[in-house]
Amino acid sequence: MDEISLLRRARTDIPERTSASVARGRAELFAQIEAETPYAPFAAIGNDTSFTPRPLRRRRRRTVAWTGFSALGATALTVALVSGNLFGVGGWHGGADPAAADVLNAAALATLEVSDPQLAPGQYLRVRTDGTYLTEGWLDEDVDAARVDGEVVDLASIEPQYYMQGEQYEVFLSADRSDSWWWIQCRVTLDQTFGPKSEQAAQQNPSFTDGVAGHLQEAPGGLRKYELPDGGFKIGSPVGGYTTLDGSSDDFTLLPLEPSELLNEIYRFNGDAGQSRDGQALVWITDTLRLGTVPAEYRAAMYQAAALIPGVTITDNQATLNGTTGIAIGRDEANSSVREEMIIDPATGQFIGERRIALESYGPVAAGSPMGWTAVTTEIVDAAPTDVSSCNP
Amino acid sequence: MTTPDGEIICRSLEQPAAFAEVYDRHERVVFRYAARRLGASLAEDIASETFLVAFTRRRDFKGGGDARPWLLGIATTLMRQHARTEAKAWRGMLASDLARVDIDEIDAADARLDAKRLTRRLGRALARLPAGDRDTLLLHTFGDLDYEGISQALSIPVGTVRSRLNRARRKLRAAIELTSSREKEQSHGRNLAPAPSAD
Repeated sequence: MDEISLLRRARTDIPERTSASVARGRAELFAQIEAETPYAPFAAIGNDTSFTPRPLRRRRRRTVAWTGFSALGATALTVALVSGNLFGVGGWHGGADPAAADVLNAAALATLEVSDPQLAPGQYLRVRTDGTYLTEGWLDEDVDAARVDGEVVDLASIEPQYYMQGEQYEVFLSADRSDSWWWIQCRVTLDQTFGPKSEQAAQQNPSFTDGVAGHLQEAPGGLRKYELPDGGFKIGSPVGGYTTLDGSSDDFTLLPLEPSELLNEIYRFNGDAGQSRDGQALVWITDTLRLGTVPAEYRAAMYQAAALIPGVTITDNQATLNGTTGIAIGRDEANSSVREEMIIDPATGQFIGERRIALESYGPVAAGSPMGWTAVTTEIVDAAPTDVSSCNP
Repeated sequence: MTTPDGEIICRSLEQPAAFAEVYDRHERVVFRYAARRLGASLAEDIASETFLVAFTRRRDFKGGGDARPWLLGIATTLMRQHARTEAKAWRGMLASDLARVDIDEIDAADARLDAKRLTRRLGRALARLPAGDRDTLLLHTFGDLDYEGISQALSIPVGTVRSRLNRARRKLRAAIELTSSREKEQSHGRNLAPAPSAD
């Protein structure tokens, strides 16, 4: 017997890891996942049949026909809003395109004029996010054909298949935010395929059929709660809130309200993450606004902070998501060939949703077309959810 | 659907929760690898931490369809803080650690004695190996990685893997052969064994 054979047989009588230990490791991983993603901690999700893809309008830049501000007046307003600390932004090297800044600052003003919804005791603010995004996969048979000695060495050699996957996520904020919140995550749905192979690949993905239709979870004081296999539970990160350098927080009062200071803080929170410092700052703002939990004065500050980010432009004056039209604000990322956009209604300050636009053709998506989008809607409801019936089959 | 790990990790860049699938697929392999080196108790922490580190560094994943080399590489790095514990465990290696070793080549009457001697020498030889050589050897034997996989796990060229593995095997073989020579010594009542290396 050689040394390798001998060693292979050493310490083989290792006890299996207990299911509680496996579950604890999984819970820790989810806590980490949440810290990075303030929403959608599970892969599961659902469908909203009223949420149908809409073709992208031809991109229009700069020629803002937004009513209420002349170009001069809007620019003057921009300066008025940010001049106090215009040069206080660390490494500040410009700011948004003036037209985009107009829209963002108008949205900020409108936000301050529109007070947050007032909830009566027992009522909840329901924030629903519907999303669709391009998903890439491979056919089982193509993967098997690419195996060498049982291993797939080169994924790039396999023809990718694409389809659009839908998700649905709901948060119910309690009138008293220290009471229990609730959140629902529905199972993912297949929203669109691109031909027979795409359809086949989607059918091979068990995410659309396996498991329950959705999860309903309690969140005491807005914090996620996990049941542990040993009967205990673990309190995790906030359902709402924002990500920081080393985790997440739902205490908005810790953020500066002054836009340039806020932008500095956002840069600090994100470190080296993302395709670029400025692009990541815009993504952070979009991610945070998407949750629908940001108090009005901080929403306004975030819009104003976005107006200070270099390279931010208006990309679509008539962007429609889920039946609501707004103005798309985005930033081209040279490194990723993808533009992240937020869509807002500058007249009300409403955050309508977001889109990811392919700057180069990618799979079935033509250059200039969306690879994914999410739409956010809010309403006041009189009771907490008791089931996941809102998850469409 | 047999989705390659690479696809899942790619997807998790957009959809972080997808990374849980990587955990479900490989936590057992990582745990067993760590447990064989450090014992079950420490291995639980190593296994959990491995996936936390992997998740935060998933953008760095350069592998293909199989994430095991990458994960075992992370686990190996994490285990280095327990190098003393591991070395101590190897030095105290018991015959029961080799319970499944087929000892039919050893004279039945001396089987227990030889197994003890064998494990002690093997354990000491492992404890004395340079960390890099030991990592390479144990990724091969406990992690079931081939040269290419070890190369990915430790971020070293395949040639280095080969030389480390050869060196580690040579040292272990010397320890085992020394034991075999002593068997002969006992059987024939003569000392024909070479002088033992310092241990």
